[in-house]
Amino acid sequence: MNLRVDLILESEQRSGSPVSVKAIVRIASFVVPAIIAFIVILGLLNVRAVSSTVKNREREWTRKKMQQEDAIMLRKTVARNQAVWDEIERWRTTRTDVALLLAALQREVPASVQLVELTFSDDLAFDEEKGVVRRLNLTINGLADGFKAKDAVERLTRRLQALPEFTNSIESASVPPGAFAADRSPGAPKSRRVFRIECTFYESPLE
Amino acid sequence: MKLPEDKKQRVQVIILICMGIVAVLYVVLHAGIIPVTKGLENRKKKLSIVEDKIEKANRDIMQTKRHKAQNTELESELANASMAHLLQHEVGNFLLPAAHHIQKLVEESGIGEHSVHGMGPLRLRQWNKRKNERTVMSYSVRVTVECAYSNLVLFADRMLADNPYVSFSGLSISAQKTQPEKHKMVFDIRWPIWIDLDAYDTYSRMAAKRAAEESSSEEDG
Repeated sequence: MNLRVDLILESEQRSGSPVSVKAIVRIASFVVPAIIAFIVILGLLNVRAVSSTVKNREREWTRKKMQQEDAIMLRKTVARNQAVWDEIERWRTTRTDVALLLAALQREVPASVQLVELTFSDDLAFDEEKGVVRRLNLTINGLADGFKAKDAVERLTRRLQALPEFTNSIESASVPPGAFAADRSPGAPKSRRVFRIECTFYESPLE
Repeated sequence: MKLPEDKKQRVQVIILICMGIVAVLYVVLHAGIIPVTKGLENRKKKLSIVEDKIEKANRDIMQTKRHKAQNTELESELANASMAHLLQHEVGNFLLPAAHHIQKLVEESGIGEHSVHGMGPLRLRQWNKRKNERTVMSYSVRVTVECAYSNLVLFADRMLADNPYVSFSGLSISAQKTQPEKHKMVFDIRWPIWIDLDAYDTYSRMAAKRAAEESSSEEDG
């Protein structure tokens, strides 16, 4: 039978480990508060540094704010002037060169065709979607003589539709139904025909 | 200080110490670390906002030079257009300057007799409620002449070459049996005019100021 006699009191017992719990507790009781204090102090210093930077930047912002207000005002002035300029420029870019149109008509009308009346209109109209638009129309009334009168009128219509100066402007040119007929005016030769050609142009928005 | 001999009492003391440590840590955390961290975060947030504002201000300020140049050019173009191409008025009357201008071109184009009637202004702003910042409206006159087709072409060419903003808003040419070489012509000429008559003075002053600045800079140079 083995017998173990422990003669050391519990308070006198020591751990076999080289690092005792008591020592750790003692060290921790100094180190942990020191670390916490260090963190707090570091944080406070950081707060102070950032506060100082904020103040400096705020002073800079106050200086820049005035300059920025001037810059914004200038930008608004530019935008306003640009809008006025664009509005005026639309008058130039959307207008039809009537001198060129009249000269082109003079050039394209065949010898067998005689123009009697020419009406051109460039109206400003309001369109719900496009706003203010330019609506252009050209109507030509004339006389054509000879057995090839119809060919001459058709040729003139085709030429009008394909006028090189107005390829992007003229949408269509046509002789409406019933607008090519015998001339019934007193004294007119039998071979004479009266006709009407209507040209429509593409609408151009004025804004 | 020694822990009590009694095991039960010792455990109680240890629990008490642990509770004390937790309480101290709680206090330290809430009274020290968290306020400091929050304060830091708030200041950083404030700094970031201020820096964003400064950056935006710098961007705006940097464009000032470009905008100044752009504005100078725009004002100069507007002043030129206002003085040279928009129809001028004489004490609010547009017909006199229009008739005078037409008279000059009619003579140059070899058109003889003519008559000019004012058709009044047409205010486009009333048509479009979406765009109520319109600055220009139109003023038209009706001209009646009897002349050759080629004279009208010459007149139109000069009129349109003289002013890039003017346009023919209507034109009617009728052949005359009694005078085949002369046609009866009625045409409407449309000019842009400022809605606000004060704009004429504003742009005129602007042009004068610009001219003075240019002459003084030339002298300095």
